[in-house]
Amino acid sequence: MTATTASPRTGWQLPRLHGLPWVTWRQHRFALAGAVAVLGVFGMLMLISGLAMHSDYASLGLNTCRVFSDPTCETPLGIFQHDYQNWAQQLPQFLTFLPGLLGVFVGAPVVARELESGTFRFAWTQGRNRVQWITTKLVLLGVTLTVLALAFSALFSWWYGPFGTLLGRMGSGGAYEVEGFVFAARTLFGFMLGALLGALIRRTVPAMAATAAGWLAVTWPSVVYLRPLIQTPITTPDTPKGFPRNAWVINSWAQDATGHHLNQGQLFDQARASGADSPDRFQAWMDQHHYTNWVSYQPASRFWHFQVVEASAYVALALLLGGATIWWLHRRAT
Amino acid sequence: MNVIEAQGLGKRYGRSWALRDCTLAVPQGRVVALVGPNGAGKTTLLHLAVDLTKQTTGEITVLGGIAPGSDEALNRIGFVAQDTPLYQYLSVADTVRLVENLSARFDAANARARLAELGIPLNRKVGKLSGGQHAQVALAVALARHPDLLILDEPVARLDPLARHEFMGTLMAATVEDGISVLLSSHVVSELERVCDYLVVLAAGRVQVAGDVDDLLDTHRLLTGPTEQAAAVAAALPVVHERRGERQTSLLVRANAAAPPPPGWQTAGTNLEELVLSYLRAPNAAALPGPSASTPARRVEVGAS
Repeated sequence: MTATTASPRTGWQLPRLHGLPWVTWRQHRFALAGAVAVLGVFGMLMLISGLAMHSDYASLGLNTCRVFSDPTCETPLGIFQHDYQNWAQQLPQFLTFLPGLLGVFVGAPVVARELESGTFRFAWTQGRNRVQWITTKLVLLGVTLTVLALAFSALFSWWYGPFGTLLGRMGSGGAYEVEGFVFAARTLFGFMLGALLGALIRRTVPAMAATAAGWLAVTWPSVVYLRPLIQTPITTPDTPKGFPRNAWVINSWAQDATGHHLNQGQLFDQARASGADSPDRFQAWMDQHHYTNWVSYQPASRFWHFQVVEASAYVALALLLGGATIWWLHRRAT
Repeated sequence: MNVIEAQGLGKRYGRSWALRDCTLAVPQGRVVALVGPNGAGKTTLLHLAVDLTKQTTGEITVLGGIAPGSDEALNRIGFVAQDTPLYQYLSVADTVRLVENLSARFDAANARARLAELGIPLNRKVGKLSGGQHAQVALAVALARHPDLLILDEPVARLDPLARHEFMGTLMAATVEDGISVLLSSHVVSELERVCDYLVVLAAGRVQVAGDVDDLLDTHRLLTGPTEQAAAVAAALPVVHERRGERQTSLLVRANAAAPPPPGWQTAGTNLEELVLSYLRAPNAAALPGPSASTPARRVEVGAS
């Protein structure tokens, strides 16, 4: 076991593994290498652009700005946003789908490939039973992917740092999906979903397609419909100082003195019908009818609470799916 | 000890029974041929013995009463599945290491020695081996696990005659060396004759014949005589199968060599292939001399439904 007696095997070797962990590593090292490569490419991209971005942020003096509306900060802020805001908004939108991709390519083949090629008849009759076999694979691969995803999220948080104060970290479809715990929890969920669908569908490619569809079918509604429900949004009149600019705006509307709600469309239609077709006249019309603008929002300070709640739900779902896979293989082999 | 014992074992897939009412005791230390046409339930029976599938009804135990799929059963039974599945993307050496990491009693040096003897390069990918070498790798790793019972499902079905011969040679040498019990399924009867000493015939999901090959050959005679007397002779004897010609008729009957043939008839011994084919052609005939202590009833049924 000492380094001096290590056999001169070709290729690179990690610490010596034995038993099922070795089997897991040997069978899935290419899938894991692929996952590391994909995360690594984006990681490098963020590292390089992030260094430039942070350095510009500092050289523009923005790190000393407390209030961005301060006249001395407005011009450098404009330059910075012009240079980097597109990046900061589009990259997270793309990265949002990475956990699903990892589930498709690492999770779906774990069982499906064995069932499809008939090798499960070999693998499950060599001495270790299939419950030990699948449990080891799910635990080791699941933990590895989760750790990789957490590291990636940490790197992303550093990269996104300057915009965290500008655009905010709360929201949907943006940085929130890649920061904190949600990204890693969704990776684990995608992996476990892939493994279960592979066990049920028994064919690799259809299982991969089903995993992609299933991951989106759970993730998208949870972002749109469930996330706003985690905590009741704060409702406040929409005045210049009414709510922090880095908050996540859930809804905005106008209401009259009696509390009757109008959305923006209805409001503009009524204003136009009354001949209020310029900004000045519109404001006058608003005042005349005692209309006030309101917003409901989730403040940035709730970021970690939302992350923990949402990530816990994904982890619970992942554990459920993992348990279902183990149960399914235990109960029903061929 | 019986290496496999089944009582009323049945397995249903959807509406059709792959195996039905299977009562069987396979004794230890034998090389058992499990024979039957395609779809007879051979693979289902073997998969039940290694817990790759679960029965719908009945009981099955292995190695003297152990549940299939228990850790002990898994470690003491070597299994080579149909088409000898192995990971195509692994090298032969990594296949050996894989089994080494899965099996408690695996002897890697033994496996490598066997492979070296066969001239199979360890660094070659399994997917690049010939069909014969592929099957030999599967057999070599199974034997190196030092199993008490080795189960092989149609191991030679896809091999050419030469590779078949070599495979059977390896298997025979190993069984003589280690004295392991072997259960081997096949629909190719001719390959089994020189290897097996115990026969189980499975047809349409039921056990039709089970017994020691020598006993079966001793208790079956081929009678040949004039066709006009055939009906009378057949009525008096337990006939398994008859082949009626215009003038001469052959009857395979259950009788030992000492029994005198009817006047005007000739008697001769039979061989394993002819015996198996005769039973397969007569699905209603059965020969079940239960060899086990746990199945005391010695049943001899002829023409039972």
